[in-house]
Amino acid sequence: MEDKKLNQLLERYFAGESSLEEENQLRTLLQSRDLPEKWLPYQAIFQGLEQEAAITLPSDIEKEILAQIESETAPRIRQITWKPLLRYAAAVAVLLIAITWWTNSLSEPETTAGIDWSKYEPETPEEAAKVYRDAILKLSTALNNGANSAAKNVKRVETVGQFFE
Amino acid sequence: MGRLRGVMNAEQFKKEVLPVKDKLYRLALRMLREPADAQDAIQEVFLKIWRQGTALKKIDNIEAWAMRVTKNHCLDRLRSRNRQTQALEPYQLDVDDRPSAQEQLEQGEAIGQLRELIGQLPEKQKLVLQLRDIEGMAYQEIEEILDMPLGQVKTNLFRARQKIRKLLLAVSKETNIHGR
Repeated sequence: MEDKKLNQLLERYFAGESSLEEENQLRTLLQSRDLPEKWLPYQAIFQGLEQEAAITLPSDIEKEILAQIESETAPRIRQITWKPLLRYAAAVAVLLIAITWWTNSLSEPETTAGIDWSKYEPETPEEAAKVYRDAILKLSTALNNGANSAAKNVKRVETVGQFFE
Repeated sequence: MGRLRGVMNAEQFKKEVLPVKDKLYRLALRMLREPADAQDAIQEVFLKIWRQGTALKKIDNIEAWAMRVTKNHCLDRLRSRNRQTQALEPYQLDVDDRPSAQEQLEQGEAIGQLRELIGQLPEKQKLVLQLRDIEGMAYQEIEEILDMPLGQVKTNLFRARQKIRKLLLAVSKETNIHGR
């Protein structure tokens, strides 16, 4: 009975179709001390694999690992450093303000003083003549003032010139 | 081994992570072949894990993840020392770890040859065999650790087991012939 079971399990094992449970069963069956000779090579395989699985990390190495871990402080928590982030944020804010200002200045319509010149248009020839006279009078007064001022300044220059003579 | 939450202290680390030390060591030993080399690698791996800090809490399966870290670390070591092409002798265990003389006689030379054969298997076959037949891991975990699709895991395992079967049967026949 066990012979048949062993054969089936080995076939599945070497075909790569066995489950972990079946592999454990196989291990248990092959551990038997009084196995028929034909199964001994298979027993050797599983004994060899178990021997490999029994290898452990030497205890002095484990102690070294623990000492190293304990000598280091608790694992470093990755902290967010805000300073560079704030710098970037400030730079972006300045840039955004500049862009907003610039785009607004481009899109704003040119504002001109809304003067309605039609209100000042003379309606009759008499009014037009009056406006014209006033303008000429203003112009001649300004010219006279200019000439008087120039004459005064010439006189001053002549006085200074006499002083040096 | 469950998901770790929060920042881990040394006590939690001992309880949650350190128990995988032997599995990690066996994997490192399988890959690097020299006990001293494997021990150095394991120390480095544990420090690497410890320094993960809060990142550890995001790991669902710490054992599979630690195995993966170990595998990658050993591959880096192998690459940096350019050892992949060198034929190294199978590792020798300390005297205390060896089976007794009586046990050795009982097990015959087949076990020694098995270790040698596993060491000579192609890297993928060796790793799949290590994880399945020595560590008793499920296929899903092996896929995760080796980053290998299930089909490839099964193919590599099948080939590795077939090679072992052939070798053991050959040794057995030879022993019977010489014995008679």
